Amino acid sequence: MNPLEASQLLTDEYSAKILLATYKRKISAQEISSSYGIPIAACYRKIRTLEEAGLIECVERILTQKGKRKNLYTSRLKTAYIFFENGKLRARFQLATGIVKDFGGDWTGSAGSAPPDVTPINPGSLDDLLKE
Amino acid sequence: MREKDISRLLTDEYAERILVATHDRPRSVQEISDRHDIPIAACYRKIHELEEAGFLQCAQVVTTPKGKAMKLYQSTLRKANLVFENGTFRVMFEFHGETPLNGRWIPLNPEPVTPTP
Repeated sequence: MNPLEASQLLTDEYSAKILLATYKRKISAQEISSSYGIPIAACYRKIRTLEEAGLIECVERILTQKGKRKNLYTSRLKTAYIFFENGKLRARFQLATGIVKDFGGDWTGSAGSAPPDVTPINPGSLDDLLKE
Repeated sequence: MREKDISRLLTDEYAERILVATHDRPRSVQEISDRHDIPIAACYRKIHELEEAGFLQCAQVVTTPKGKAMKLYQSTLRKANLVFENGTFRVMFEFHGETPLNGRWIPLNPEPVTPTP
């Protein structure tokens, strides 16, 4: 996963809502869908994506009164930082388990004061652009 | 620009790619569309939205060899931070030049449509 993909995993409208809905709470896909106005199919799909990325997990499977199985999800994301600076995007996810996942850039400093990456900017050529 | 609109503008797949694409130098809509795999109509629409919101500006108008005028856009964003902490999202922007949004933390929390039990 590159930093842009990591960032979009978080900033996507539905993902952000699901992460908020599951924060310190166990909640089913159906409940997330109706509380946050997410179409149910998209909600299941996005939950799957977030689950695969390790940002949420299924913590309980309960049996409803109608005898159907219902998965309850909870967020594993504790903090997330996405920084865009000098044209560089970098992302850091900190999971409840203490695992830190970094995407792109230099994260050697602390999250708030990491040194900016000094990258030469390619000025490009307008001629190249006009030839296209 | 209202805070609600900022959240809607940036929780968008294309907006982020366009802002990354235009940070270092002005680029044409066609070039952004080609390089970043954004459908051309969506690319024009999104660029206009970002321009109205002050995240992009037309930096240059060039004439192509065919004699058409072509606008080149560049991002006005110097820095952007998005933070998720304690169950809330917030963002902060720094622009080249002065804007009321500069350096201010803006909460971005989609409210539930109906309260959850």
